[in-house]
Amino acid sequence: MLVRDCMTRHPVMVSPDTLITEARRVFVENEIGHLPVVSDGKKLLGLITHTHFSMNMDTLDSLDFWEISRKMSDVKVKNVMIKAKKIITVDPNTTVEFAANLLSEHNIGCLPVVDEENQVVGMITTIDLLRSYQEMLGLPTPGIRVTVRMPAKKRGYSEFAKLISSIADQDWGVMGIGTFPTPNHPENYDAVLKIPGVSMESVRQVIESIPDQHIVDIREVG
Amino acid sequence: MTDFSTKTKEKMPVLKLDNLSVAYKVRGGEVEAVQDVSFEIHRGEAVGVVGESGCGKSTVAWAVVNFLTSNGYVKRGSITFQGQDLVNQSSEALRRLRGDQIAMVYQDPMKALNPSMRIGDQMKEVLTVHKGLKPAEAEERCIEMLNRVYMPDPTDVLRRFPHQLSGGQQQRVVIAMSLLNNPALLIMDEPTTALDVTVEAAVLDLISDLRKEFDTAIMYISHNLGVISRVCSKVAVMYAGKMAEFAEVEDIFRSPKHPYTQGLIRAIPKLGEDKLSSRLYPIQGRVPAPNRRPEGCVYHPRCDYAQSLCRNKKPEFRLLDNKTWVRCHFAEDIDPSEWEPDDTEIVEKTEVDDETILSVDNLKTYYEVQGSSLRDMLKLNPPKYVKAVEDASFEVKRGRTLGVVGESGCGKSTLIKTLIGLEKMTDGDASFMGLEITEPLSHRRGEVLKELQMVFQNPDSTMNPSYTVGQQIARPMRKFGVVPKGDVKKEVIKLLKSMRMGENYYDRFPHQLSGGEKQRVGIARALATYPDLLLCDEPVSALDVSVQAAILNLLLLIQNKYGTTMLFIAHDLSVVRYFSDEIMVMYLGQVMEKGPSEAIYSPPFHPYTEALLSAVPVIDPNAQQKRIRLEGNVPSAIDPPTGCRFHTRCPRRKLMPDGGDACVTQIPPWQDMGNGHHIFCHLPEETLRSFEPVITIKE
Repeated sequence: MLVRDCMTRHPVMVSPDTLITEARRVFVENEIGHLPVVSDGKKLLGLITHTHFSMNMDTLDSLDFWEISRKMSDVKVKNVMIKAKKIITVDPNTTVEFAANLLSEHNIGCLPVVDEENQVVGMITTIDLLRSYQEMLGLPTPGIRVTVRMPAKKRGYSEFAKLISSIADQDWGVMGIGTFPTPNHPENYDAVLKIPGVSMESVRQVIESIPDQHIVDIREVG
Repeated sequence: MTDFSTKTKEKMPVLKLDNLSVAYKVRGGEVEAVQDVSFEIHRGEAVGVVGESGCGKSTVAWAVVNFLTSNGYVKRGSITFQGQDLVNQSSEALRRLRGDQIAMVYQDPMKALNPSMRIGDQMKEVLTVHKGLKPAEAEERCIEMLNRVYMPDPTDVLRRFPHQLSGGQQQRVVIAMSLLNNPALLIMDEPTTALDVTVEAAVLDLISDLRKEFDTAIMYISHNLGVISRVCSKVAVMYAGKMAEFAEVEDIFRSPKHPYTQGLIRAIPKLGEDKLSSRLYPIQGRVPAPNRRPEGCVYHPRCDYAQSLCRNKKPEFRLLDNKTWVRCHFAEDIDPSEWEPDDTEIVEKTEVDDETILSVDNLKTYYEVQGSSLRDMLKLNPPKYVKAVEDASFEVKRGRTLGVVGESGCGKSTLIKTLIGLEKMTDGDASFMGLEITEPLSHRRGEVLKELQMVFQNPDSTMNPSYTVGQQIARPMRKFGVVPKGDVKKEVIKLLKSMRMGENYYDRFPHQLSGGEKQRVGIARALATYPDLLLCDEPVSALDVSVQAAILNLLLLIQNKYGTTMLFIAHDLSVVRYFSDEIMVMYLGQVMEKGPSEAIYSPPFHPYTEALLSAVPVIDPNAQQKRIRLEGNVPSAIDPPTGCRFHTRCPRRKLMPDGGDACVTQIPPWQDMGNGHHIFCHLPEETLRSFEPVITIKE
């Protein structure tokens, strides 16, 4: 899965000369958390996030209502936005895990997706990544969700192939799949599979017949 | 992506119209062309807008991009695009939005392209001027985009001028251009109306592919319900500036709620229906002008279910339980299956003897082409010809209708122009009631002229604007002395009445008539001499579906009443199937298949007929249609392909032994399928019979 498969295409964008009050309205009405600022030809110039609308109480204290509204009516998006050179962007052909890595490493909530000409083609947020994570594990389809633990280092991660081939022997489908090292047990790793249209008993039987592997968790999910 | 994710993802529409009303300032006030239109278009969704002409479909589209004429303005309501209000934007901000995020495709691609610039320069301009790309980069992007729209040989296309491309290719260039900026919203106003069915099918496939690939929101305006059902996910039906119904495409066609939607669907001939087993039901009356809309429900004068409530109270646009929005007081109570036509005027068919009235044998019509070289000027080179009609042979019996179908440029119009004498016949024989009709018009005798009359496609351009309706119809009567001079007026009025037009039309001028009425006058004029043979060249293709149904019914009535024989050309295969007894399929001047109409529409058929049928937009939601798309364009008729003229595009050629060598080298034989059904193809009869039907209805 690549960024272009799970990003939001045609995101809402504003021009640098938009008033901050107008930008705030766009924010609220569209229930979005990030707003790219673009020039003619959708070139990325900056980014506005929630934090730009939070007011510093100290500065506000010294102003009365009329001064606040006068001050606000002068502020444009370009005065407060994060400038383009400070923004971390991704290419639409980046992998989702790399995008997720960028987000967690820099502790940010979104990445503008830009093409070679710095033109904004989409936005990817933590929510989009969480959604693709759900899809990878086959969330909307009902079925048997089973977590299988197997040795990691032995024969170079080939245990997983055994598991798959015994499922293939049954002619079962797999709607979602994920593997990860077992927490605190680096010698093992776990695989989560979603198998639709079978009974829990038959899954248990097939997997337990594989030597060295055992079921950590099995449940039917809708 | 799964349904689940799209549901959670789509909160915010790309375009949202909220109670939009558009008014035009005119002398003595203003008219509201569009009233209270509300709908939303989300990412990757296509919303169709349908309705007869004059219902305000295009006005909605123009309001979105602020292309209203200087006297038009948004009176009430809002247009929200990507969260921003478009109504009060400065023209500069709108210009930027149009360039970057909204693109438009209109009906006539030739008007969107600059005829004096090469395609490449026009396309590159979008990128170099707007985005500051370097010319080389821009060219690369253009080629990439032309590939996306399945344009053959894009590098070469960039060097051509618009007139060197076919209509379908021009429209693809326009679509490619509109997508260069990756717009969030694409507005298409009748983009395929000017195209042939086969090209239309390819363009529609392209549009639905692009919608999925680019996640573009599409607003698709069309009068053709079949086209809408092929590309759109939701449909807004508009009537007299208001929305009559808004629902998912499936629901609209399966159970239309508003009487207007039901009427529109009933007015279209379904592919496979004929005039013997079914009737078309036109909607009575016509769309009221914006300043003369009736009180109460705007549709009530034309509605079969109108009650006193409808005349007094405007219905609200409300949500029915199955997610259909409808503007009707009685939407729940109306069951379209119980609908019965109120006028069942059926004229018994006049019995006529079964004589052959028109017989054409090896008719050829060639046009000489003047070359531009010096040798051509001095007539040293052998002359070149456009072989517009090649070896056409057929017979028509009295009181029957022969339908002629084919893509544009296949020679159907030339064929009937030759028969009526407007084009010179190059070779062959044609006799009409035993009289030779091989010589041009000026040499024909009065009796022949009188018995052969023609109805033209565009009623606007066939009538003299400075003569009244009565004068236009009386002229041929006087010229041929059909009735004594004193009785002419009476006769004209009688004729007008049989066209369902009152006596008061006698003194009207063409500009005081609607399109359908003009076409009725056109038909009345053709019938003024009570001809034996009526040649109809696309008589209904310029009309709205409901008017089309009325005109077809009228032609049927005339045929039954007077026993008139007809030659009927149309590009709409459902109309031809409905109207004709026999059908002839033409390709590049060559007749490919002929036979009784029911035989043409089911196997065995010619591979070309099969391709035509699979391109017809079908509105039945239960229908499964085979997907056959012809590649390339109709080759030039100056230098038609050798052997079978269709071999360059034939999808069935691979069924022939040795890759279809015979198709290239030999002229195919006429194979008799029995019952007067003939196919011009090399493929053996068993193979032709083994083809699956194009359209199957699943229960």
